[in-house]
Amino acid sequence: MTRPPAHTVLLVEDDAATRSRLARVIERDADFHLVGAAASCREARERLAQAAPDVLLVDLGLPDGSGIDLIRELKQRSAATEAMVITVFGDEKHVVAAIEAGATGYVLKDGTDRYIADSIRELIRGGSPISPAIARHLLQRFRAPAPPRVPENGPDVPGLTEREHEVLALLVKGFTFHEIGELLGISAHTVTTHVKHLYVKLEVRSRAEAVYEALQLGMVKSSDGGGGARRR
Amino acid sequence: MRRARPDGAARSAVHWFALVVAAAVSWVPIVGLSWLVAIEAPGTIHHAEIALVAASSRPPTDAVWTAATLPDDWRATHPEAREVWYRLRFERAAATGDRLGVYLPMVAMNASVFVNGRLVGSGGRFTEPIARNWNRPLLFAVPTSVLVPGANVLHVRVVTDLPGNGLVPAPAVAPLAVLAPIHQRAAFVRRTLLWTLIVFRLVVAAFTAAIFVMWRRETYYGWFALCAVAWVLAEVNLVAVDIPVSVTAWYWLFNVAIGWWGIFAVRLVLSFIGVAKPRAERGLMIAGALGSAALAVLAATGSPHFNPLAVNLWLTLAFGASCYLFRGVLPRLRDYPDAIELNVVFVVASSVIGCVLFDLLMQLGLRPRGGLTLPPYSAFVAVVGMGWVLVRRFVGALREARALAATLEQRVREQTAEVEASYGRILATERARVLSEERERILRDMDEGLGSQLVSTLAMTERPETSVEELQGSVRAALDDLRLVIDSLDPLEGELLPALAMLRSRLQPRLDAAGVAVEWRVADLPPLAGLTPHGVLQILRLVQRAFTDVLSRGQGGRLGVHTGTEVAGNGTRAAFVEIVDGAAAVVRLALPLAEGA
Repeated sequence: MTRPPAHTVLLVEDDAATRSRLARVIERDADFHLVGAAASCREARERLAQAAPDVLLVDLGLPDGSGIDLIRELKQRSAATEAMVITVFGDEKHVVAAIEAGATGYVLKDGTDRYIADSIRELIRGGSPISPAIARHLLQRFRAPAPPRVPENGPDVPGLTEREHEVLALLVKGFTFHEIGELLGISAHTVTTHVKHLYVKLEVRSRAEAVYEALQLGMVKSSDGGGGARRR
Repeated sequence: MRRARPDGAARSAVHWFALVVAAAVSWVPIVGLSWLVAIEAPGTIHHAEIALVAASSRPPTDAVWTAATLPDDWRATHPEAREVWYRLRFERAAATGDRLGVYLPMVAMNASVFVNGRLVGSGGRFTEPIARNWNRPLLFAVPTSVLVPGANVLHVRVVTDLPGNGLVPAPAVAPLAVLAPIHQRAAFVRRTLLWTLIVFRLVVAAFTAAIFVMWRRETYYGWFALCAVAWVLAEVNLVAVDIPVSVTAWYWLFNVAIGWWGIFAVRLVLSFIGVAKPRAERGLMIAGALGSAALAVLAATGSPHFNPLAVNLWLTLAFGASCYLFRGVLPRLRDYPDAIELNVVFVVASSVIGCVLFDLLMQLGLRPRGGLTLPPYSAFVAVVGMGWVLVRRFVGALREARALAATLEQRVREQTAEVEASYGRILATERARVLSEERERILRDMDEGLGSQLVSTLAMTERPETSVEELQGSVRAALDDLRLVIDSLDPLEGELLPALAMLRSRLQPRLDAAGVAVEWRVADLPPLAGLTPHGVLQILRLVQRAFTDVLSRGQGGRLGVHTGTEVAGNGTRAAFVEIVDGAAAVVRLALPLAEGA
């Protein structure tokens, strides 16, 4: 029986000790192949210019820029690459900003080796982690009226489905994916897939909001504003 | 100083002289018009015979005819007469084929003209109230068929409204082509121009009345409108031919209008220059009202004293009263010789009063009648002058209002900016206070948790027997407490469940790794009272300690987290948070609900 090819991972982390530890965790796991461990945005861009990895594991605070910019650039170039944020606190402010840029997951820096490897694996399998604070933010964000379609005949700005709303409401109360799956009669994996869809919707919605606000400010014209909103 | 006085006096003399010249210049066109209509037409006949006969048809040839010279003012020649016949003779050359005309520059009051015994024209109605032609030139074409070569006879029947009020000018008999332009010129001056000036004044009066209605603070606009209307009413006597009321009522209206014209002129000027003479003004109004009433009584009773009193007393008094306006203007002019509005008012008043005086002398019989009545023609100067002054003041007021509005806007802007700045300062102070309190709280919380944990870790590193696992546990505890502090900063708006949920999500990987099963039985909690970040942190620390106690045993197990509401011992509803380790409740918190929850 042949083993499926390992998923390529590019690590971007400025702290040498953390970078070394994370690199070790990835290299030890047979499912992954570490294609590079960059310490700055510049190094990361050089690596990304050569080949797009399956997973970009990126710290947000880099010495020469923000990891969010890297995620945005990567998603414009290679939509297939999954971006995952490395964070100390998993706090709502930083994680949500990264998701809006195109990230679909995050991993806590102080997690155990197994936790880190499982998180990357789960992301590749189509699932995404989420904290109650992020779920709460998503509920509030999608409760607000969606911006108008830009242009007028463009695609709808996505809202929440009923099931997604139920999932988020239970996440806010602290239930795990397994518990939510039991409560809703679905698998835990389906719950994480819902979360990933929510992240994608948040990214699209935030793009639409940005274009609409730019239109309101007269920064772009309607004819070219929608393209930017739809481009992924 | 010594030289300033003669210079000032000389300047003053020049100033007054200039004003008099300006007033005199304003009379020039009026005198010119007067001269224009006084030019005698060709064929004017001055010699006539008169018969004091009251008859609508030509007097019989045996009537008594006496010689007379035209113009004939009945006040001097026939003070009691109401009707007089005039007979004049003129020659008609046999060869001429020109059509002839008979021209009367005016007649008081009505006339019919006969040539060789045949009626060729009439000025209008002869029944009471008879037609008024005293300011109306008449031109009648004479049919060629009634003329004979050589001597022809012209009869003119003249009827007047009051005994002795008749005035017959010297008629002219000449070719119609010669007389027509003269008639047109006179008609333009005596009729068309007057009507134009009347309409002009009424329009201006309506305009100023509208301003007064909308802006009552400036009373002179109202006085101007009243003055103009009274003046127009007085002048209807000049242009009306067929009057709608009796002669007595008509003369009452005419005299009263003139009187009030003078009174309103005084009120206008005093109000305009800002001179208050309340007693004099009140006296004028009362005198005007009493005089008008007295004249009305005399007219209604048919008193023979009405006309003499109206002309000799009332009009003279009205003229004298209107001169009172100079009592206000002259001192002001002395004090403010450069005030252009005052100068214009003086020239206008002088021009009008000069014309009125000229007319009054004629009314009083001190100068011959029949010439042009001058006051109406001063209306142009008066209305243009006063109109210019009023419009100038109106525009000035508008500019002032705009400037005031701009100043006010500026002040409002400044005040707004000041208020905003004050508000900003208050906000900044409040923000600084809140930040300071929050900073102190965070420092206190970190000192209690993270700080203590780090100090403890440091102490552990100094002990050689401390294992790496112990150090890891201590650092992780410090990190956990730091996360608790961060989570407590989230705005929860009285909700505790999201904070508990966040704590679970952070500890769940370790609970899973340690094989600790969690029974997460949470019900929605209503908003809690006084749930400050510090309070949240204390609750989270209690719950976290219960979690870490279970984890530290390293034996797996079952941990229950229950939330809900219950009725407390005192009968009030409260929220509860319960942590159950195995079967024993290790933490049990009762939390008061927010008001209205």
